[in-house]
Amino acid sequence: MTRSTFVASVLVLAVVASAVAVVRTHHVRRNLNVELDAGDARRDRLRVEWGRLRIEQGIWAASDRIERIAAQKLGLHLSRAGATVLVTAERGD
Amino acid sequence: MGIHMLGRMSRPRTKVVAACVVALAAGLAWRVVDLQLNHNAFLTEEGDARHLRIEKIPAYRGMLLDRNGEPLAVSTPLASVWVNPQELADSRAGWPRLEAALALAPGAIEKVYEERREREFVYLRRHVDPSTAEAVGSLEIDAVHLKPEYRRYYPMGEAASHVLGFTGIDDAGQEGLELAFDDVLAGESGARRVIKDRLGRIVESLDRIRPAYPGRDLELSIDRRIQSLTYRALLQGVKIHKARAGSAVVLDVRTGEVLAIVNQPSFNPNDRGDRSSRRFRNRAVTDVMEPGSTIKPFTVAAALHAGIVDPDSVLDTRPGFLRVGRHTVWDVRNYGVIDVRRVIKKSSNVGAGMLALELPTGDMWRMFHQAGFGTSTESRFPGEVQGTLADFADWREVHRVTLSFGYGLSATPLQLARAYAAFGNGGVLPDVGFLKTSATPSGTRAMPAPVAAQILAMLEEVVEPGGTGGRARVVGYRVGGKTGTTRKSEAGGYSEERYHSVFAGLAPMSAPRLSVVVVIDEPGGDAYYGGAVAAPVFSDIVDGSLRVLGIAPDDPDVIRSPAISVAAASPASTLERKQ
Repeated sequence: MTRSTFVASVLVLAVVASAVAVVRTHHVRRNLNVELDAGDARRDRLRVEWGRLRIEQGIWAASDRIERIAAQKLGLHLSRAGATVLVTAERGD
Repeated sequence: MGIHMLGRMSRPRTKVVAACVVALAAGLAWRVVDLQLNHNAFLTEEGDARHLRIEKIPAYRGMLLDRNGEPLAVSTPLASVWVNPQELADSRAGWPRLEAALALAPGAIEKVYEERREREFVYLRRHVDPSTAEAVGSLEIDAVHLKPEYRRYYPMGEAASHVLGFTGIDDAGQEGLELAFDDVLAGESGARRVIKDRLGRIVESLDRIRPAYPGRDLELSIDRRIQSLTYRALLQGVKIHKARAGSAVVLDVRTGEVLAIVNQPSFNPNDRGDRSSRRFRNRAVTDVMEPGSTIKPFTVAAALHAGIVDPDSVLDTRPGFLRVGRHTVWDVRNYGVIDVRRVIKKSSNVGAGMLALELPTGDMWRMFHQAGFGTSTESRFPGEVQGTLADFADWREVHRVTLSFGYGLSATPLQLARAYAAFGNGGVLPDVGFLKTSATPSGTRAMPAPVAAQILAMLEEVVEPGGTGGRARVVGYRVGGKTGTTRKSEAGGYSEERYHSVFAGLAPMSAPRLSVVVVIDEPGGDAYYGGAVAAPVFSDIVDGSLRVLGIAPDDPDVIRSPAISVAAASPASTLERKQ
């Protein structure tokens, strides 16, 4: 094998190898892209659910509802005039 | 075996066959080279044009939250149904089922098909809820597509619609804070390159040209609980007095944060049909009124600041009216000889006018100006107006007198609330804003602290027996404020029967936290005085708000003096006591 055929075959091999690498990289990129899209979709879905849960919590914790339960189920009421004792806390002892 | 066969064939025939094969192969090879090298660009372009699409990546719109993190506006997912009319004909059998699923009139799709056959994209119905979208998807009609979209949902409904505003069908802010902070909330939509098949479905997503940046959540200054109780109180006041409209503003005295801002009539932001522009206005910010008697504390503050009177100085308001040029200013009745405090308590026009005449012209203007009248609050609210306060160079004597009791200048309820906040904030006019702030409160000095304290004491007298604002009282708390009843201006002068009933005040007076303004526009019943119409609404708002904020009662008449004093409980000491 002469020197020049050797160089040529090495170059041919290199070209083939780089072509395969390009295809591989392309494939990897697509896979990553698919993952990214899925991640984005998941993030958006979770964010929407988070918003929905916050609203639900707001409904359950609405002050009207709590007031109603306090009055009806627990028999609580606002303190009447003159029934309030103000207790002042002194810092440290 | 091949060699054997070849051997049996004549050599010329072999050559011809070989030549043909080689020629065919060469032809194919040439075609490949030709397509690859000479027509590559053209063909790639044609292929891409058929399948490659640049697609928008929608950015999620940020939530609007109240100051405690409760959601006030949230984007929820919906779908819009669209069709490609060019493909519709293939699925004629599915049309009735599709019409039923979308609640469209029978024949609606036929019409779309007939009228827009040339188009490739027609919405059948926008913003259907997820369950409907699923039903449409399960029909599996090729020409029908679903496009995911978002829509804003406002959990507070009517109670906060003016301040929050709303978004349009494309989820962009159109009114209120949704508009004011649209750039922050909206984020930035991105773009990606995708390959689509013949039916418009995404086969593969190739790469991102621009990433999408989701919008940010915004924490507003609004307190959801105060907003909702203010809404209820105002609604009740407007209903009882058969008023045309009304506004109420609750400000944090020190930080200038808007805790609540409501108006009547209101609208439901979740129902797009309920939108007429008359109802959209956040009147508390976009509409001006003459402040009337609620300006008197500032007239008195100017007189105190100039040093021409002190709170105990005596004014002779007899005989109950004051002649200025050709005009006469009347009090409700003849109050006789009264001190400056009673000018506020009884709301004497004559007393205020006398102070105005004694003051150097520029002093009163300066006080009003420093209290924020005629200047923008710079709250950034869309459509905010700043009212008017004429330059004092134009003030004639009669003008000075009418200004002293609140005619001839105009202000929004928000401006009035900000001006009153200065009394409670040691004389400093706070900068107002609709965003929650943790920064050091900023503001500008409107009057010296001692003057503000003197006015506070006078405002408290207004709600005491004999004052005009008794119905503003709140059990357990010391409150103070000023009533106002202004005739509405109309063509040719002031109306005899159309009024603004106003109450502006502060609470709790021992250390003011809230500045509250209530305006009832054209009460239709027998009562129209601010003390009768607006003061009870003020009382309801303050009562609820102070409780919600957990502010300790400060009225000595209601609180029994503490019998015990408990040391600040550290976990250790609690334990000791238990043992």
